[in-house]
Amino acid sequence: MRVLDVRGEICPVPLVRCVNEIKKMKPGEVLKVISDHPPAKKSISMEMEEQGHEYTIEENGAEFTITIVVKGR
Amino acid sequence: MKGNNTRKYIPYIWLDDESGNPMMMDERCTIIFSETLSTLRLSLYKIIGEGSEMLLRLIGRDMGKKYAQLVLKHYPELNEVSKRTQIHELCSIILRNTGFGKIEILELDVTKPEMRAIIEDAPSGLGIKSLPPIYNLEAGMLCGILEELFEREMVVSGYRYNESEDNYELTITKVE
Repeated sequence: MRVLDVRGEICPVPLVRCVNEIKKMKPGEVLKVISDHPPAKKSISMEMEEQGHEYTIEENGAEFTITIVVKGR
Repeated sequence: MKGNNTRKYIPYIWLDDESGNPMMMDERCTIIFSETLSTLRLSLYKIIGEGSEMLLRLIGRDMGKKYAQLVLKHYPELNEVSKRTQIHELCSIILRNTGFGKIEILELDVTKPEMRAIIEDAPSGLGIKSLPPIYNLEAGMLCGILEELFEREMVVSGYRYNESEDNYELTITKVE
């Protein structure tokens, strides 16, 4: 499992780094993205839906973690 | 900075040591107080009347286009994501991150294209009670962003001020 910690970063950095990371991953691998920038939650989850990856969101106060399972290509 | 949700730096704004100018995405920029925009709006209204609101919308449109061009040039990865994500991200960067208000996209149809969104806390309305609470500058910016992405002329086809929430709902559609 990979972890991408983008706390303290604002748009578009969380999305860009997440998308770049997923490009390097294989189907079935898991990426955890940790962020504290609310708009990033929407944009990352929206893009994961568009790309067909499964994801869940876990809220933890001001922070949130998006766990993404990379789909088969 | 990790885990600090109270203050964050903007990665694409910096001061150029050589020229002494603030720069945004490699272009010279000017940082002004938000109330300057509401003062500008009020002054324009006093001089030329209601036409000033249309003028602000046109200025906003050009600003939105320019911002969108700069963001996509500075972050080319955003050209690889879906149009929906691209719009959400650009609106967040161009309005929220640079101080032009908060935006919530309610509906977005990229096939038409058409967008319904709420803008609040926009600087052109700060402290102004004598003018209608319609944020033409910021609405124009949204039109400009969409025009840049869809290469179609876009227009505000509907708007409504929500007094209880103090926000402004608008619909943007392409010009037929």
